[in-house]
Amino acid sequence: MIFEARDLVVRYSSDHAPALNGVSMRVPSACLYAVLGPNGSGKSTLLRALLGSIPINTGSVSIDGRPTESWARRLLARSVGVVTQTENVTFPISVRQLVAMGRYPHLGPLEREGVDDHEAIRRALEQCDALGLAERDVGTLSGGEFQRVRIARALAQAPQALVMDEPTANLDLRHEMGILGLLRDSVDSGLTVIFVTHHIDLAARFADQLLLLEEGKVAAEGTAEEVLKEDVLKRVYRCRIAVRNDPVTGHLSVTPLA
Amino acid sequence: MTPRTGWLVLLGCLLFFTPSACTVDSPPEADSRGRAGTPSLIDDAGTAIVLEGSPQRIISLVPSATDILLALGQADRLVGRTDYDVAAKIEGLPSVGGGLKPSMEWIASLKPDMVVRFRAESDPNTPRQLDAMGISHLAIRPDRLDDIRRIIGLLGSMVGEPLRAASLSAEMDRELRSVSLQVQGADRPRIVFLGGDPPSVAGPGTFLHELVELAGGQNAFADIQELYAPISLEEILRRDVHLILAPEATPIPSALGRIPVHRIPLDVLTPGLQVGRSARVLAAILHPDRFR
Amino acid sequence: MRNLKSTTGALPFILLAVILAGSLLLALRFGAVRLSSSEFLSALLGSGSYSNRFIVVELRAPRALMAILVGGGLAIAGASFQALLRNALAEPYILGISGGAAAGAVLVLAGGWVSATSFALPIAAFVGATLAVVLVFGVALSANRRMDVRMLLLAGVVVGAFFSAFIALILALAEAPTVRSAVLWMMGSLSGASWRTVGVVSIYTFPLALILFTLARPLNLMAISEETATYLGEDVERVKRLAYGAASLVAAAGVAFVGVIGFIGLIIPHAVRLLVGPDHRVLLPLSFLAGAGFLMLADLLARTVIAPAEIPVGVVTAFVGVPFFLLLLRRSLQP
Repeated sequence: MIFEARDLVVRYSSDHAPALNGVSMRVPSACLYAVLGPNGSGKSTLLRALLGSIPINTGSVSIDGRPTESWARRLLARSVGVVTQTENVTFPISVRQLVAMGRYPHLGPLEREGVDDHEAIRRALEQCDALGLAERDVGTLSGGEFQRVRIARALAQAPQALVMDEPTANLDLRHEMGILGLLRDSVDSGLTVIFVTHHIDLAARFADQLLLLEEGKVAAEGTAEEVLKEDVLKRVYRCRIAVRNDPVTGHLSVTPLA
Repeated sequence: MTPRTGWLVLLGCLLFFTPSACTVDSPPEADSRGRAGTPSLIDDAGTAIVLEGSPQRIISLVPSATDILLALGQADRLVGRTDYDVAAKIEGLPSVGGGLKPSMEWIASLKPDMVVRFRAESDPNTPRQLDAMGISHLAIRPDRLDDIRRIIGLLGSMVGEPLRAASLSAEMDRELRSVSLQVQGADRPRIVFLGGDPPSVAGPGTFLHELVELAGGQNAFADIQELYAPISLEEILRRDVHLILAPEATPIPSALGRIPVHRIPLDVLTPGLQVGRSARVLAAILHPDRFR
Repeated sequence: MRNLKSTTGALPFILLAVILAGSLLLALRFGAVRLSSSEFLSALLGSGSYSNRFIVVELRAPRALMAILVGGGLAIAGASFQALLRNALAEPYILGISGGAAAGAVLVLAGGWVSATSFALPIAAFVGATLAVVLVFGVALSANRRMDVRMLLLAGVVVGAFFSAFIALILALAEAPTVRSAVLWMMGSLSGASWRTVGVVSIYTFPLALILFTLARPLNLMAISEETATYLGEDVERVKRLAYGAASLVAAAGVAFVGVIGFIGLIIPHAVRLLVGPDHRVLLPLSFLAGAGFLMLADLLARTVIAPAEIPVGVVTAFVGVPFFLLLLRRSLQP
């Protein structure tokens, strides 16, 4: 699936500067696309705008060439899995029931989950190393475990694209590698994945394309080599940053300097 | 109006047009209303009640009406009482609960042919369910002395003892007149009746007002519209009240502390046959020199 | 480490249906007046004395059915509000319904516009409840186009306080029998139930309950978060309009005829959730059955314990409900 924004302007309120101020970007199909930038640069807003969950002021957002708002909600839900930054669960619910919600867009009005649905749920849990948590109450999970469960829910949707806001924020190293490896494999099989992250090295290592945002504008878009330039990073992050090739991974790595 | 409100209003209107679901068939006794030639009574709710002979199984939900019925010698015809009926003669009767919300199951099981009830606008269920059972009911509302006289007459006609009722009424009037004669010419202190918490005063539409006037006093609140109304303490002080009359349970606000208070028994506050006695009690309080 | 069971199949339904049927039988069998088994049976079958038949068919049966409708309605309204507001303390009266209904009822009682055959009292209570809901949504929507949960809760508190003051004013100026009637009405009672009023309440309850049952999956999503619900394909604003509307109406219809019976809408959904989990496809129907049975039994207690007098049924639901719920809570918290 192709995601695109053209001259996108989004304002939350008229007294402040726009959250996105003329952003143009493009996520090609089957691409692992990372969105980077300092706090408040508009990363989450961009994701929301691409998904059509917030109104835009000027410009356009489209998915697969059609404006996002023309997409039927349920069709979009069957095609795109979303993992938001955080989620608060009020009532005790089991992991399995939470992940099962990923199948809802595929169910008819009075239809109940069938064999295929249960299989999709099981597979998603397995992919996120959460099968052992299936009968646990979501409220008893650690931050990282809960994150993996929410990713599993998005995977259970059997989507063609994943949009994720800081998906590895709470994960330990093993699971972080696990999820990114999973995303990489999925993209290689044809999935499109957009994710926001603060972890620049990870983006450099795994992503095909990077987008660097600065105060609602695009600072750079392209491959890691094209985007991660010391002068650009210094300007955007207001901090001296050293960029060099990491001999272990073979990819670029950034180190903030005092 | 938003569409949603419109739907709500439409749904609300459905309430008007819904027919009854189902009902038990009519009671076995013939419908006793509308037979030409039989005597009819008009109760305090304005309903015309046609009687076929006097009722044999009576339940009175109003204690003062129970007293009148007992005085009319109807003890044998009473089949039930309320929790508030304490007369010894009917202690043995089963109770149907409170006068305002009696147990319909109990009333049904006692199979009365007449229920005497209090005419309260706020209680639609009692008359409705009595109608559904086909039980005649007589509504009474004793607010003033004239109401009491009328009710004595009404109950008397109902049980076929009009003469006895007339003599009860006359005796009551005799006692009231005698009290009023004994206090003639005396100074009339300004009185206020206080009841409830926060305290309410009795207005001119009540029998208490009439009793006070008969007993040689002056109701300081003879000008209010309501029967019983809460009044600000300032107003009570402003009217230069000489004496407060209140039942034991009513707390007297400390602001009124300088006005003398006389406690009166609850009996005085009941509008029934005993008003003559009540007038005497009040007169003795207001003019102790004229009563021993 | 707490393991939760997921949807458990037909057993809970069968169990609750059996309990409901049993409770119905008890509610018909017992009351203020003692009937022997043979008297009871003949009354049911249409023979026996007129007064016994009246007691069982015209007094007890409508009461029991009203309890089913109102108890069930309040329970599913409570469950829906808890999901929509994502708040465990939500209950059907949280958006001002009880205050509005009571204000309407007290106004009619004090004005003396009630008569033996009119529906003035339930209509006034219903209109009052509806007015309260419209006010609450009006206040909440004026601040923010979408129905924000915090604004709704705040508006509910404010509108409720306004109606309470209004009621207090009327009662301060009303005469004693009216005040007593008003207070008793506000404590809730099924004593006025008749076949006609049962008919009216069922016209509301069944379709509205059905609407809520079909919103079960969207409610599952709403209970997590509105953003998640949107991303999983729900038209959140439409779900809110339908769910808030249906839940408010079913609660208002119940309150209009029986007064303010508290506790059911709050506790029954929690109790059922503890037993079968939060999936509304199971939670809603079971809550209906549980609420129905609970209110029916509470009303049975209310009218038999101090017969011939009656305890207001809202008092019974509180006294019985609290320890029962605490017991359930303790059991669920044990590892």
